[in-house]
Amino acid sequence: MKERWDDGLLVAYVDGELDDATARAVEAWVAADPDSGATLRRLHDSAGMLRAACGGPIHDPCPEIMLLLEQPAVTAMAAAAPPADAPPPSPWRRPAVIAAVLAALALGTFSGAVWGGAVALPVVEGCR
Amino acid sequence: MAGRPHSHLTLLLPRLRRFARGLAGAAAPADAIVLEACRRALTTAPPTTTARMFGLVHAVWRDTATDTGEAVDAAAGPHFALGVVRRALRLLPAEQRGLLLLASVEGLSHRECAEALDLPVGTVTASLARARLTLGRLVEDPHDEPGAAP
Repeated sequence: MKERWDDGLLVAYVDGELDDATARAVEAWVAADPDSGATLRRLHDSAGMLRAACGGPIHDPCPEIMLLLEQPAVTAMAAAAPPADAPPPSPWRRPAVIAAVLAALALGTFSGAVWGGAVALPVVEGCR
Repeated sequence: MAGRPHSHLTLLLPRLRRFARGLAGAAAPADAIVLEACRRALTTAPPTTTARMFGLVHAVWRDTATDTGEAVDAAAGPHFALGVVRRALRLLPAEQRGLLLLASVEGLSHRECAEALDLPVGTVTASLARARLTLGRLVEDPHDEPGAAP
């Protein structure tokens, strides 16, 4: 059974939580360890299943909530002090890189691709 | 909606309702949860952040213990595989269920998930790893046990 810390690092990688240097280290690690590669795929697939099952848009109106939110006191509060939140990030923050890693794992092309601790990835443009 | 004043909550509403449906399994109880969460948010100051608003929805859901398994099955309709995923999600502990939806569906960072559910970031990361692997196992074998009570 794998160490929990390892799985945590892999899920952090899948979710785009790691800095570039750590992400490269994870890619080298999964390239050298088939078990970690399989775990990475399970973590990736599980997130994809969830998005497919629960990620659909909500279109139907909900008048009760809108009535609450459009009360004059509420709109005045929102206008006076809007929250400083940034727009939500994409649920999938490193799609091209992760897809490339998983594809390389599936094809076995990682063997020999590790050089000097880094992994040559087929697709890295547009990420981060 | 043009011409109406928009609040942060109004803009966030579709995501809050989707999150609540993922938790509760059906539209009507989910909207009741979001309505109550909005009421609670409007009594707090300063204005509620996105992460805390999701946290409020999760807290109301836990308070009301709403879980409509039959509605989940019906909502899946002909999409059998999606129904399997939703049923597997319902077998996970409340905290893991919330984290999975927040991170994988709503796109919150681990730090935002931690803020939402008032957990250390390390706990969020470890729980997400455990929950995703368990979910995958449950989808592959629906008769498997998640290994922890909700």
